[in-house]
Amino acid sequence: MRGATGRWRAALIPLLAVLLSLLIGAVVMLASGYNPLPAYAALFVGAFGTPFNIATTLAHSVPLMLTGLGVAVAFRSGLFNIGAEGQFWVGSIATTWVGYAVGGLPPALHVALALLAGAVAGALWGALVPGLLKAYTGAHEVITTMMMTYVAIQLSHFLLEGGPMQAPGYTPVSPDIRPSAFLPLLVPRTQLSAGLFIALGAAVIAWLILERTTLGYRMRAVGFNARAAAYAGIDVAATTVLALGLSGAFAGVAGAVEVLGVNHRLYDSFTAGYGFTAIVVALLAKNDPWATLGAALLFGALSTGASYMQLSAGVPSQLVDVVQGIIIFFIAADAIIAWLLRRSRNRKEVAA
Amino acid sequence: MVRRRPALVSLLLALSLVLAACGGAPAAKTGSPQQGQQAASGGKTIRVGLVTDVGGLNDHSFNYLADQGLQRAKTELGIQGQVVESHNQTDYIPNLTNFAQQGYDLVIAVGFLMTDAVKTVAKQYPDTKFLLIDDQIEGMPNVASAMFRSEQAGYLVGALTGLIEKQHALPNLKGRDQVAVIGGMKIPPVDAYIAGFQAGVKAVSPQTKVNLVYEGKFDDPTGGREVALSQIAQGSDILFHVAGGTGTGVIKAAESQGVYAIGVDADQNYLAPQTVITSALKRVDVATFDVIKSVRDGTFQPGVHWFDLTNDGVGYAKPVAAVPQSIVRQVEQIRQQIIDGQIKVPATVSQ
Amino acid sequence: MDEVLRLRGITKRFPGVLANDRVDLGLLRGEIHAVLGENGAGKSTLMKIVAGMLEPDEGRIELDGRPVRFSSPRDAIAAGIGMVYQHFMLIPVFTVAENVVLGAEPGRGLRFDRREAEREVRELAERYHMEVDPAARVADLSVGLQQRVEILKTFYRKARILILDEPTAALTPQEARELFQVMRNLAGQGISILFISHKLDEVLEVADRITVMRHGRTVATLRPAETSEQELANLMVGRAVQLTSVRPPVERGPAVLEVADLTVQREDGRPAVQGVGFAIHAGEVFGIAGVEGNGQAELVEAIAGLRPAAAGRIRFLGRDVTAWDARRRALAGIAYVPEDRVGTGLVMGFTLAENLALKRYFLPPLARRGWIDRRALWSEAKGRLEAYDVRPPEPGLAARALSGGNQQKVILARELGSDPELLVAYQPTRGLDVGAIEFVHGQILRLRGEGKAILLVSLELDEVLELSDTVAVMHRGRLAAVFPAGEADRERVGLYMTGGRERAQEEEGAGR
Repeated sequence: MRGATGRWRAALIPLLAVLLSLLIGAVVMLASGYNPLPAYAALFVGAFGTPFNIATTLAHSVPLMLTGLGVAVAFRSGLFNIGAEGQFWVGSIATTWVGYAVGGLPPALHVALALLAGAVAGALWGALVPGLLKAYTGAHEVITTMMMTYVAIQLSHFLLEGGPMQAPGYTPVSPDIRPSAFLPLLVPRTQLSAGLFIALGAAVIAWLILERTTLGYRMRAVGFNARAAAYAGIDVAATTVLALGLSGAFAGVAGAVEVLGVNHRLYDSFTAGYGFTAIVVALLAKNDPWATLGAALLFGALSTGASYMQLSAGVPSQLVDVVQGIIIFFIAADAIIAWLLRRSRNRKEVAA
Repeated sequence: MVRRRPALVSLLLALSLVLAACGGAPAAKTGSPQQGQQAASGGKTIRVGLVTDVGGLNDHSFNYLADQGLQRAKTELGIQGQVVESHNQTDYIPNLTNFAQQGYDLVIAVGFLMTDAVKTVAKQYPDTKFLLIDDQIEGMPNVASAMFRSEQAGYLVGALTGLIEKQHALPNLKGRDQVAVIGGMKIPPVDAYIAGFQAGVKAVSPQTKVNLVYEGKFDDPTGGREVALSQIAQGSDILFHVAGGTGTGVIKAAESQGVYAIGVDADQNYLAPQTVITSALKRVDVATFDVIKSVRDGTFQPGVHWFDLTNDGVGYAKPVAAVPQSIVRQVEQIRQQIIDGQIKVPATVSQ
Repeated sequence: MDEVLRLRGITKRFPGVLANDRVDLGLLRGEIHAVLGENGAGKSTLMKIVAGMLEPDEGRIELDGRPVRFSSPRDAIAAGIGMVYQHFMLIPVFTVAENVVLGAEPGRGLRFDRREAEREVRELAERYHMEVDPAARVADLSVGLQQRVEILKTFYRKARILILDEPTAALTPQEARELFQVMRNLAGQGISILFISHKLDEVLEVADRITVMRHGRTVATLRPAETSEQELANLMVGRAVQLTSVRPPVERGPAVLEVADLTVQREDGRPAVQGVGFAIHAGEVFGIAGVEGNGQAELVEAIAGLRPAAAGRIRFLGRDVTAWDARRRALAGIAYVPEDRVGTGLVMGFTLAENLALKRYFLPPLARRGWIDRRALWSEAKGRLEAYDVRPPEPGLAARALSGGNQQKVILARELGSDPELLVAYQPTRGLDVGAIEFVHGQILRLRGEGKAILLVSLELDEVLELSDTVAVMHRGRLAAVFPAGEADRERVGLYMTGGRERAQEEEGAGR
């Protein structure tokens, strides 16, 4: 009983954060001369109003789910991996290469190999430099993962802008991947591919690893209290490397799914910062794998609905950025909301 | 009359989503004879949707100019227009689809980044017309693409430059009879401008030396500034940039050294009013307006539309007052000669 | 003497708990009144009510005979009640004076008159005999001096009733003694003090009257002269408590742990333990006494495998384990109860079940091939929590939800549950109340009776003397002396602890 109410309360604060953000967003709209009601109606319709929009929302959520899971896994291990963006990039690069350069494979195998390439690339990007540096020199992962993100983005510029991965022609894009590496579309004529199932499966895997395996036990022990973990005989350094590698693998798969399911090639600067939004997704979800799916869906819906809101209500989509910013603020400051809750409760007690 | 069938599409999508949910059954095939319930909205008001690329509306270049064309069409042609900005590569298809689904008559996609997306969506919505700016799509009955003969614009600003050098027509020239072109990357759209510029200078002032450098990036103002400073130090006093964001560094360098620059794509005089004497123009606004007008008039033509001096699709910005009128008159004559076909402008660079 | 504060029938309920049940208490002018009770007896709740942080559900507070109502700490402060919390509320980068006057700064408008503040604080410190430099940064002060700053804060706000919540918990014995002196001075100047503690000896030493609380009620108010540690302990716990443990004779077996010439380094490379040697036998409690910081922490960590030996050997059950890591030693049968329950012994965010598995989570039956068997984890935890009387015995509860005593029981359940041959315990009763201490001591003696070896390191000399068959004294990284239980008494051991004997006899440390 007690556990259940505790969980309910834990969910209440992020929910309130979202609602408050929408409310403040409405005030901002009013102040800039837009009527928030039709705008939000358009936002909702744009995100969920038609099957096509639902599919688009889900498609936009998939990379956020996967990168969000990656960040959540690292957070649970006490590691602030803010480099999911870079791991996403190297995952995309490796997958794209396997997608067009490796031929003659049956589709299932080709997809599997391409996904594996993305996962491995992301894992190495997280584990090799930031993981080892953190484990053996104590260099803070916030710095190193961020730096590796810059390296990854510059690497993609190098590869695509006249580099070895540029397709013939002058456009900075890679060749198309082979059709044998395409993830099948779940809904024709949309961008929603079987990547959705990969994301759902990844959440199951993340949850199983964290809650049901000895590796997850070690990771969480280190995350909660590295001293106690060392006292218990856990190899903190190795666990740190593994955790960052695992985290990077999720982000790498996100990049892979985006290439195999949506873009089918690598574009120069093609991400909208999924790896950064992922941090907020994980924070909003309190690093719970299931909640990460929900939080990713929320942000996917916001970005999908934003375009439609601009299209049909004429409200600049930047206003949705404002709402997202406010959500981030309230999550960062969820102590404020917890405090507001406590206060109102105290009021009631005093009144009673 | 434009036929729309969003209800049908929605129905099919719903069906396939349900099927997909039921254990990955094969998606429904299209071809149901059912017709859309919703009749085409009566009347002649043409609805036009514009999808920007990730640069957004404030890019002071293609997206901005396309919107200018749309706004002009709204006031002059009485059409309805709506803009959606893309934040992400994956936004292109949904944004284009949204307009098509809503029964817009024309959907404009700005920039070559959207070529793949336009091909995909245009196939799915054969009753919607599409315009792709700055890349070619051929053989689709509902897609027009706008291409620009930018070498002609390059030729005109080149001729202007050559005449100024020859006549020492501006104050503070170094008298070395030397100018520079700074390109972003060596790609055909850039080289078209450059080829025209080289030919234009040479035609009026054969002894003027034109240095050519590729900076390597389109988004590196600092690098642009350094390259420009080095060119100025070597004696160049007019710098033509074809380098996007990198070019702002070129312009700033010219301004700081008291020499001159020529802008590209849009009129960039506002960046440095004393320095940018003119700009080579790609009239994306004109292209946008013209295609919108053709849709309204029922004269829409699919395939590649070339925009050049004859249809005001390229050109040069009105030179600053310091440039002698005699020179401007001469450039205008050259313009007419190109239109008349007396001058053929090359589109490939001679090294 | 007149009564300045009177609590009548104070009752406070929390969901599921009756924290205070019709509590009555009187405080006289210039009196030091101790409130004694186990953790969870309701002392802190009561003090928060007096300090205005909580409002009572029933009952009333009278100040100088007049009923008052505090709806916030501000009201209580205005009425002359000052509280010093266990966790200080100071701003480390501010000076003493700045901290003391914070919120009531002298000066005009926005201007802060630093000199005036320092003058006022200096005056205050002199009046109450609490020497502290008003210009010093709080971060640079010792814990004892920081506590003085907290006390000065209350006097700056004109407190005449001072509440001290477990004030000695964080202090060294020397600092505690100084605090008692300060308290007596204050009482002499007419300040009334409510002093919360669960330490019997302190209460008897400094209080004028002692009120004992149990399960939210006041069970007795006594004068020190009329009572004893035994009576107070019985009142606190509510049954006859064994304050001193009896060590029945046990036949000593073979050596379990042998340490020879052990040298251990600090993080900075300087030696913390130098050439220490001793042996512990089956059925023996080997106690190490000493002042904190003389190498005890490093010694136990080296034995547990958490810190490398720079030189020397450690043998366990005849095998050289010097190169073994902590996990291997734990699995071989070395149990280790660390000093720092919260920071080392437990993972506070883990459930009790997960904490109990901390050293064996990867072994069958708890896990197979990398998968944890939740059911096995749960059922094993349930059994151990009941066997060690952890309250509440809920495997799914987070460790942080337990009281300190119950947390220690969880650690003992984990460490002793796997049937070790050697227990290394460092300050196992630190911060625990009487009942919990009794439990821990009982467990140590039970192990001894079962023929296990125990290394007990404690800063509490009485604990070492009471439980150990052999008493060693650690001073500056060396064993300064080793006595058989019969020869160790407070005076002799105390002398070695402070380095009073110039040369400790090396042979006494070795050989055994």
